[in-house]
Amino acid sequence: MKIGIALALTVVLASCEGRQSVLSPAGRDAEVLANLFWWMLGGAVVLWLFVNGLMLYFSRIRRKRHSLRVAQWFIFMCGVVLPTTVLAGLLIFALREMPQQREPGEGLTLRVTGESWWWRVEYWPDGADEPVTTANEIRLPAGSRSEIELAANGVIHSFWIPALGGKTDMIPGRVNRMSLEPTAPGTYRGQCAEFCGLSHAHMALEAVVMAPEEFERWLGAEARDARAPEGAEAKRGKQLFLSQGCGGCHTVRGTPATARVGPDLTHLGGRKSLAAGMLPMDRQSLVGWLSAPESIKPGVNMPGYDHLPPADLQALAAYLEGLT
Amino acid sequence: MIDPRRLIENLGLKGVRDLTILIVVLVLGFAGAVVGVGLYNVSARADHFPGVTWVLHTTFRNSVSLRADETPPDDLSTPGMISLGAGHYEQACAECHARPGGQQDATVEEMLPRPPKLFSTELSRWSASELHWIVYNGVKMSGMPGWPAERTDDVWPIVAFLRSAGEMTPENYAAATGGEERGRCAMCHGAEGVSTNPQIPRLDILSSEYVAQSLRAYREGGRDSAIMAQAARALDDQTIERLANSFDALGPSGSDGIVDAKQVLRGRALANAEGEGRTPSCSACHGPWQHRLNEAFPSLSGQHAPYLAAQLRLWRDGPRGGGQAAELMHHAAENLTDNEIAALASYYASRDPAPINP
Ligand code: HEC
Ligand code: HEC
Ligand code: HEC
Ligand code: HEC
Ligand SMILES: [Cu+2]
Repeated sequence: MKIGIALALTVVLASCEGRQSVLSPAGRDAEVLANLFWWMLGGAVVLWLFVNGLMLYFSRIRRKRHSLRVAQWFIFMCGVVLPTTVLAGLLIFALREMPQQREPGEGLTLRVTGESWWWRVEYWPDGADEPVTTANEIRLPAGSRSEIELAANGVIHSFWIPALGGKTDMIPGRVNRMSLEPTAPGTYRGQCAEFCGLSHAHMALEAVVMAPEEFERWLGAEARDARAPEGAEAKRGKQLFLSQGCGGCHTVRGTPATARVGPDLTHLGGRKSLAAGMLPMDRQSLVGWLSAPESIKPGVNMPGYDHLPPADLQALAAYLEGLT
Repeated sequence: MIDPRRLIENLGLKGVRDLTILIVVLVLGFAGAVVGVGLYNVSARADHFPGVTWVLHTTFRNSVSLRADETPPDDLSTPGMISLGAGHYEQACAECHARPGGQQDATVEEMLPRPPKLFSTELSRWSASELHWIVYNGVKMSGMPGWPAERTDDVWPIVAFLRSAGEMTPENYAAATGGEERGRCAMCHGAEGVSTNPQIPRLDILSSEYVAQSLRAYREGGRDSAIMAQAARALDDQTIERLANSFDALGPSGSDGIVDAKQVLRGRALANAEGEGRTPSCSACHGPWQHRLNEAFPSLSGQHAPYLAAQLRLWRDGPRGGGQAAELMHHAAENLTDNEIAALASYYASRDPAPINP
């Protein structure tokens, strides 16, 4: 019995730890939310003890009739004064925190667009007139506030990285704004939080928080064109990429592939995961994805290439993996 | 007047129940004799009993007019539709229904019902959608076959042809179906694969690999077209190889040119996925390219616009099959609107063909 309870508790508590949890905040905005949560929880526990204590007291310990005056006083204090004070306090606290979440950024602006079922990510560093485009992963400098514009294409999505802040809906035809101020470098996980179709549950997001200098270096590299393939297999992979029509949907900057229907693949190999957080970024996953994306994400808008011989799929994967 | 009670008594039956039983036994006995013993004569030499022909024809007429509901396309009566219909009639229907001014086979004449010589009958009693219904569905227990494809749009050329029967003199018919240089294919695709009929694809712009894979798909039913199934069903692999290599002898040249400049510009923007680019870039797979990228991807430059538009609708709405990479095209076409299809078709049709063997 005790072991059972202990086990259940570890399971519950373990899920509070980790890279997709409101309860281990890694940013200013998430800290506020976590704080609010703990205060509310504490308050709720105190209230619960108080209400049940009173009940116990009056029904078991001091069972006697009370005068009308005492009863009325009691109802007024506990039914009007106490809730008003507590709720007003909470409201003031929450209202004070709200503008923070909408504060303008300090330089970097990101635009994240919800697609079916992936994220288009564009970085607009201060003064830039062309964005640096990537997908399915956002990187943010620690210690400063970055502004995020949220858009959607076709259907509603919702942008939520629990460890960094609250969630905001992405609505087709309008731009919602939010800002995040991450504090602790690390890799966190986000998830689409608004049902958006067949593969909604398969639409996750990597969020990497980096030291500011490291972030600048990374963004500089990300802005460059794709690396030329190294080695015979990867070179053949690039040929295949162009001859099999991948460029009909994808961009690899510095090659003739310039379409925007699917994710930008210019620096795909440098991402932490594949297909919006569904697979690790390695050769085997790439081959699996190219041959049967539908089996990984139902309804996906990328056609399967299982008609290609395995050696061609390997070559394509070698090329993509090298696009760091 | 027969008194039923007297009749029952005379037959030695007791009440209505017994009479019912007697009738049921008689009917079952008769049916058993017809089906089990072979009493009914199925000979086509023996005509129907009097009145039966009338019953069958009236049933046929009313059944067709109750069910016919397809709407004819706007370009139903164009010369291209009529001559494609003539081509298919020649390969699939003439045997039974006779050519304009021609005779029926002696054997076909002995069918019951005998296939009407369509050019001597009053076809105008049928509306276009009724003719469509008859040709697509066929007529049960008469020898009139159904359409050997799922899609319904490629029945319209035949309807156009049947409705032009008034002008279809033997000379006109011969002109529409003539051309024996490369046998059956030339009748529709032109002697060198350069079809001049906008409803029929030109083959001279296509790689031999693509032509061969398409013919195999028609033959095996992967690509749904009654017209091409009729032409390709009997081809063996060697013939397919030979045919596939026979159309690219000439360097392709010439196109229908620019019909509507605005549409062409819109089509070009779409094909290159300029702007927001929600539609995959056609040019990444279909060119225009410097060098052909992939032998299995057809070149579209110089192809006829009505054919391109019809194919795009098939890709978008139906299970248009083809070679192994056909699935790619469904993804590319699934979000196209009718307007975009018209623009894309105009753009590619206006371009000069790309060289096949650079
Ligand atoms: C018809 C358009 C289309 C074509 C053609 C296409 N893709 Fe995709 N691809 C997509 C879409 C859309 C996605 C995003 C799918 C998702 O995650 O929901 C995608 C995702 C991917 C991803 C994962 C990207 C990431 O950020 O994790 C890779 C890798 C990829 N495609 C490679 C290829 C290769 C290689 C080819 C050619 C062999 C190809 N694609 C052809 C549309 C296409
Ligand atoms: C095997 C012989 C055969 C072939 C091949 C055939 N038909 Fe028929 N068709 C018939 C027969 C028999 C009828 C008469 C049906 C009836 O009256 O019940 C008929 C009836 C018709 C009618 C109705 C005529 C009327 O006015 O009642 C049309 C129209 C027609 N066929 C068109 C075609 C077309 C077009 C083709 C080629 C795609 C075709 N048929 C191929 C045997 C054939
Ligand atoms: C009765 C007219 C007719 C005849 C005869 C005919 N074709 Fe066709 N062909 C067509 C039509 C109509 C299409 C378009 C069919 C479709 O919608 O898929 C076509 C399509 C094709 C295609 C596919 C072209 C593309 O761009 O995808 C090939 C290849 C072809 N025909 C080859 C042949 C060959 C070889 C022969 C002779 C064995 C032949 N055809 C006989 C009418 C004809
Ligand atoms: C990822 C590659 C790819 C893209 C992108 C693509 N297609 Fe295709 N398309 C194909 C393939 C492969 C075929 C041939 C399929 C078969 O029959 O085996 C094809 C066939 C076609 C055909 C039929 C041609 C014929 O002769 O019958 C048309 C028309 C066409 N495509 C138009 C387009 C248009 C318009 C676009 C842009 C909206 C487009 N395609 C985008 C790969 C692609
Ligand atoms: Cu979602």
